Amino acid sequence: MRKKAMHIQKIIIFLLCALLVYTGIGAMNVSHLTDAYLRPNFNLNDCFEVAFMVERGISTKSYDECGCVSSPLRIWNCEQDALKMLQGFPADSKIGKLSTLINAADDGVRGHFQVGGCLDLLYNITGAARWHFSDDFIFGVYVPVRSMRLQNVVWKNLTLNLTDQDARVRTYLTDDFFANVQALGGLNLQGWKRSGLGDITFLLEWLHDFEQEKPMLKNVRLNGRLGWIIPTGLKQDEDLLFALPFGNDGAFGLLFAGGLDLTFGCYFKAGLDVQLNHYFGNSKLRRIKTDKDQTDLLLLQKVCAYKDWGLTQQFNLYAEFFQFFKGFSFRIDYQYLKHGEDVLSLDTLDFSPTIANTARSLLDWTAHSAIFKLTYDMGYDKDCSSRINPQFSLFAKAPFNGKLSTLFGTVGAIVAIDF
Amino acid sequence: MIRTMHLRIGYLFSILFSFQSLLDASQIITGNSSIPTETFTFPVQASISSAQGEYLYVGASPSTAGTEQSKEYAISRVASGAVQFKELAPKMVTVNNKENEPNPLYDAGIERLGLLISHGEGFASSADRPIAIITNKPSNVYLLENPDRGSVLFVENIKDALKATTPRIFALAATHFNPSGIFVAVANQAGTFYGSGSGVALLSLNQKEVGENKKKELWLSQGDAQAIKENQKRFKRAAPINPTSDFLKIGAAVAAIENVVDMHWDQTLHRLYIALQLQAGAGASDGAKAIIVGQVNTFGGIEFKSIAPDAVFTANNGLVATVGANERVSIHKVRTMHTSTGLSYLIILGGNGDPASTKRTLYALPLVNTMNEKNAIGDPAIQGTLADKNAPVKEIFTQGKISFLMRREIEVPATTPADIFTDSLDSSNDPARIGTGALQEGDVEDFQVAGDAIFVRVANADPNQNPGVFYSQALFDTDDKIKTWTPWQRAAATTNPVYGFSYENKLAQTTMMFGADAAHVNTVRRTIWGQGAEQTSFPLNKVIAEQFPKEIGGIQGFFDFNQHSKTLNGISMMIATGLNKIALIESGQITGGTFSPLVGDAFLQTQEFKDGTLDINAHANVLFIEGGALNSIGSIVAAEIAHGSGHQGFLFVGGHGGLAVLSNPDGTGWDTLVGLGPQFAGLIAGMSFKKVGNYSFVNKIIYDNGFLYILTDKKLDRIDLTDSGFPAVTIARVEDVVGVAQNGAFLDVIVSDKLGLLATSGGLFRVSNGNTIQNPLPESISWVFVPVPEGYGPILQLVGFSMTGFSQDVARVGGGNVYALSAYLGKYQAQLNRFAIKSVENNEIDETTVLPIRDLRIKDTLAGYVNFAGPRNLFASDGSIVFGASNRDLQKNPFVKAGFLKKSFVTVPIDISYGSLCAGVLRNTALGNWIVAGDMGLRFNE
Repeated sequence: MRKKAMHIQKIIIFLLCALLVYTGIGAMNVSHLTDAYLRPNFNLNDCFEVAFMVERGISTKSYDECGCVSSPLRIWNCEQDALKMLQGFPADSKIGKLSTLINAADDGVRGHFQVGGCLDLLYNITGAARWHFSDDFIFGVYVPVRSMRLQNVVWKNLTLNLTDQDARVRTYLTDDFFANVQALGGLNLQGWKRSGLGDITFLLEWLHDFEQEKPMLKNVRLNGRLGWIIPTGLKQDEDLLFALPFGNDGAFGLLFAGGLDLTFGCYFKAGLDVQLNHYFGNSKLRRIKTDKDQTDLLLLQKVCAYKDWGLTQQFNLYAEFFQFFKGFSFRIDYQYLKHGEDVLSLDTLDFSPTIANTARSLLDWTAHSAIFKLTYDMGYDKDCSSRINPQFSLFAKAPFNGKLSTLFGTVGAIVAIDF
Repeated sequence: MIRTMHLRIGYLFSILFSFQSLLDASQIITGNSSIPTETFTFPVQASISSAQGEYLYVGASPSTAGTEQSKEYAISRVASGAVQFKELAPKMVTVNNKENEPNPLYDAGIERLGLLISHGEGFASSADRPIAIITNKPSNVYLLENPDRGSVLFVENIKDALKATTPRIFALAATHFNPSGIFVAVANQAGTFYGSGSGVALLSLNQKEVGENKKKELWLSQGDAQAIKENQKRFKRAAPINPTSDFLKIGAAVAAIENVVDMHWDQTLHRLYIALQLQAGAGASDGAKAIIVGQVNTFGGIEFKSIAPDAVFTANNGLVATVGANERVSIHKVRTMHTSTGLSYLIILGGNGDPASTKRTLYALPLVNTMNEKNAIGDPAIQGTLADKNAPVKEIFTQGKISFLMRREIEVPATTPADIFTDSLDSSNDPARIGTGALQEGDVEDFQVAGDAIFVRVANADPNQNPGVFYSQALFDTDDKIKTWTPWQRAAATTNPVYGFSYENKLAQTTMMFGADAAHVNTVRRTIWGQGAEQTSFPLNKVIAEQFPKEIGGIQGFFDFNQHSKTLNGISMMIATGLNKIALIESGQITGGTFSPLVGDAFLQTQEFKDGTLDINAHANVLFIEGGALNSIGSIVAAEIAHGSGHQGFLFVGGHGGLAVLSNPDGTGWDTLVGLGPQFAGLIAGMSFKKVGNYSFVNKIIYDNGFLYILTDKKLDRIDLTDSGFPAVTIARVEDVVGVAQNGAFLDVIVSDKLGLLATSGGLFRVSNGNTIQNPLPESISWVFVPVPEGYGPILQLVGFSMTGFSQDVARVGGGNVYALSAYLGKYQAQLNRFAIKSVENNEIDETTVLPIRDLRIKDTLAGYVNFAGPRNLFASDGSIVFGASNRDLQKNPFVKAGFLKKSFVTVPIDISYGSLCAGVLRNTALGNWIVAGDMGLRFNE
């Protein structure tokens, strides 16, 4: 009876934790506690675990199709094109008339801006509550909250001052560019700071150890995961510049993952993990390209558009010195992230879906990162009969390559308590 | 004040150079000569151009016959894109289907050339097949059945109308496509066309199966041109043309027929036109009809008809006929023209008078077409005859769910004198008078129809005139008929005698034959697109490029002012504009009474003026003025010369920074009694640019009738130049023009007398009914919308075509046409629309003043004239060709494309890939060469 009461107590604590703590799915490479490299080791002798992760960005690396670029605002286009911004609208519309008034050719410089800015991950607090409810099964809830900031935004006008067309572009468009863009398309081209929820994930894990009697290989652990991603995250703000969603922009998703952990001897582990996130398409008001040559930060037209999300694939390879000194473990991960190409379908016949789908922000993007994690597991002594087994981890993530992505270099800490 | 003057060569020396021979201006076509400056080692004479100018065929002069000079080049041809003549008369060929026979055309003298265009079974391709009459066998007709394979067919001893072998052949014509026939104008036994026996023979090209293998062979043979029924006994004979023929005479028999005959087969009308030079009989009511209409009947005979009933002609003024004792009517050449509006016209060189006095006038006369929807001739009796000029136009559409326009027709023939055009100089004959009248430069030797334009060549110019190539463009009315023509203007960048030519309206390239005289023509040249020839425009290109490098925006505006422009005194000029700078370029001047274009090193004589001020008198052919008030104008895109009160001339320029005028310190302009004269005489020390008013973004400046109109993005101002101080009144504001208001812009304007046409981002507008743009109460001027059929919204450019050649006269005299570039670059769309403008000189503006020309594709749906199927920033046209230019669009290089109507447009081969801006495509009226100007400099077709 007492045992049952304790169990109920643990469930209540678990649910409270689920309400009080957060974990997040990151835009691009923001960490997530469901990630294989961060997910705390669950002491299978316990029933519950609560975990907290705090992450902060310390650097940002941005990649376009060819390599590293100096600003996250250049990952899709090295320059932003204010003249092309006006293309594709009806001739008698406000924007169309302005385009005719300016009557200037885009010679590759005229109307172009070099854009700079700093995107910071202020914090990414991730929390999880996990319930070991059966021998090999764990159910977890992960709730994120995060804060990001875009600052030091600079729009450098590249338009020359040589021709009548240059003068028109400057006078009618770029001299008061922020106000013009705001008036024409309700788009704020300056910095911002946003905080809010990420997408909540419910995750069912299965894991099973297969002990080995081999000279080196001592254990093989297989795990499989199935998750349900609830779109609670802050959506992309279409009226702000590069305001990436904190989750998956309002889309429900499924998470499929599996991993293999090999234990060699007493202190060395290695393994791999594959995680596939499928997001269900969703409709919302989105900015679209109205001309194939438009640049992705200067889109004036918002329409209701259905986005068919590309598959997000995450591959991890790791090696770990496991409890090499008391409860200390050190793990190195290589993570490869790839998000497939998204496809838009427009709920209007006024604009071309073909053109809309030429947006570079819809293209597939990739990220390569190295993650270093030092963990101290207070429950390392298997003989210890403590009812609470805390773990502490420090980690650092260093992106080193990618494509069409902005990646945060982060440091963070994780506290997990199994009970 | 800094002044730099370049006198690279002495003035006299430069003038000498400037009027030197222009033979080297164009690209030489190589033939059999190894001398770089000539094509052939022997003289050539006969030439013929294929219908669209794709090929030029030339024949060796009769004087070379059998002299081993021309050899296999006795007949040769050059394609429009080739630089080498191809010889077509090898020594041994297949002759009348016998292989490896001596070629009768080898080393022959060529008297005449014709072209047969056939295709289908038995023919290697649908290319032209030249027909030749050779010197030593004047009674034979030779056909190069397959020029590439060396196959010659011939018929010897062509019979006249009396079945005797003709001693002489006067003219050739041939059908296009099947059935294939060759018309041969044969002399009678006296060797003349006057008298019994002369007429037109018909040769047929037929396929026969020969031998056991039934090998198919083509044979050329003379038929019975007098056949009129099926079971008639057939002879080889021509159809007779006698002085007593009814289709020739009016009243008594014609008194004389000259031995000059021209023939033309029209494939659309299925009619043969024979042009003659006649003298009427001695009676007062006697007359002669100098155009005969022929048709091939179903029995293979030729039937002739009158061009119009005799009753139509009552005096010596009928252009193709005369009535009056011993009066003469002389037609030197006849062709047909099928206009872009779908009507058929007879184009004649000649008219009422003797041959010598009629070689400068060309006329366009409407023809009857009775083809029905199934392309069958409805009324053979009137088909191809002169149409009633006042008759309505009928539109023929395809059958089906969507009715596409097939063609337009006038089905009513002329039956009374009031139905035809005459040689009277009154305005009612404007539609017929090509070039608005006789060509002043000299006798027209030949002409070619190209689109809606007529190109003529002159070999022997009058004193104080230069020979060359000239053109005139048809202007249309809302009833689809020609309403008038533009004046003759020089083309093809030459002032040398042209002894043969071929103009192709794909790229506006002209191939011309030159020589020391008519007997020594041995050089063939073609105008080409490029940076200009050293002897013509390359030096100009060079000095302009130095002054307007791309790094500072290059040329941003380019304007031509012909020698008849007000305030010009014996010169023509061009103006190039750019950042804080303009160039005044003297393009031609009168020297010794002769107006000639300036070319070559003449352009190296330059003067530069800083601070926008002339510190010494102008005395160079190219002036560069920069700085001063021009700095405040910035990029200059507009320029106009204007006539002020008294004898004052002004130069106004405008740009995004405003408007400036070149004037004396006291504000007066140059003395128009002096200038602008040669080397810009009249521009004197002390003159400087001064800012006028407070404008921004000046798009265009127009001078008309004492007023200067300044178009900016947001308003149209008018300055009365008879008042001092240039007081301006605003006559249109963006916010006041309905449909343009918010974010709207004024883009272009045409002003002509009372009429103003305003091109805006919201479409086309005109001055309202009963109003005038010269209204002293500017607030009373209102603007009404002019619908642009299937337009794209904004109108980027307006160009007016008038009888005087000035855009400002488009609503004067007989009215004119305005072409409007309806283009919305926001969706990469551009289309050309045409409007017919009525004269408002003596009329009020009303609903009919500006109406679209009925360009139609689908029944009851007016459309544009040319849809460019892509963006265009500007256009140009001369009636034969349309150019559309597009600025750089990111990585897509700027380009100029050319074409005409349904032909696919091709990119003009000029290297402008490193440029961004196409500032203008226009014709240099002095030299006649096309110029493309932009930030990459100048490109020419010469």
